[in-house]
Amino acid sequence: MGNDIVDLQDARIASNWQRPRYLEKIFTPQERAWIQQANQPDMRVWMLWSAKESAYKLSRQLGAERAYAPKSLRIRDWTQESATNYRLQLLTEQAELTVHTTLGHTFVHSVALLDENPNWQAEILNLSGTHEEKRKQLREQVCQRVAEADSRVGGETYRIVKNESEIPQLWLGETQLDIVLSLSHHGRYGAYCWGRS
Amino acid sequence: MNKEERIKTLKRLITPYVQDQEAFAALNEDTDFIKDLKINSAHLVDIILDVEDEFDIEIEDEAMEQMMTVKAALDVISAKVD
Repeated sequence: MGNDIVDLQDARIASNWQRPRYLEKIFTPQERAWIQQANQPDMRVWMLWSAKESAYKLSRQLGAERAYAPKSLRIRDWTQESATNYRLQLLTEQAELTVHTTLGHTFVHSVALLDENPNWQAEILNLSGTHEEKRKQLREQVCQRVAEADSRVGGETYRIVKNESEIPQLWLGETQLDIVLSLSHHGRYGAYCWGRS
Repeated sequence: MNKEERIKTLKRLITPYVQDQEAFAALNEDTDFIKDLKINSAHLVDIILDVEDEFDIEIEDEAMEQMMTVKAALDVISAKVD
């Protein structure tokens, strides 16, 4: 699973996607056409970007090399499923992925899945403090939520450890759990999704 | 422009996007923009565009793919300018 959060307030201040060549660097001609056609191009930019980011994180879990190649994650098609929910089909070099994207007033959040697995959970959190403090708050929340959902009892603590490919994994004591996990933060927001693998 | 001057220029360009000032103070060729400096991936595009403008070069998609470290950025610049 992959997930990505965009804080729209932060994105509007810090990212000028209207600068020359910006969109050409990260979006395919088809994706740029969708942005041009949008009533709110700004929302469309972050919807497509966040979908690509979540798909990148999933593709890394599937073994893809680390690379900054946003155009190699191609959005093949998308549909609007409700007022705020979109479903996108993405093609990567290895697989076809489904991304569920939610457009909020102040954020955009995407969750990328390989199969239509109904057993996943995601949450968006308000974070505060320094980058390091935000990182800690997000991780503590994930561990707490997983502990609540996990039926195991015992005094051991849950912890998140990134492997050599920078992919977060959940451990309980000395045991790695069969849980797939993705973390994201941007601006005031943190987000995660997890499910049983 | 020698390598030290290029690193200095690069530092100036990435300053607005850095989120880890400690890692920025210790910046060297191995510094990773995302892992070490915690630069948001949407800002990597800005850095690539800033480098293009500063050095008057065009960075193709294949070169951009690897531009995640100071060393990779210097290699891309060097391949275009030298």
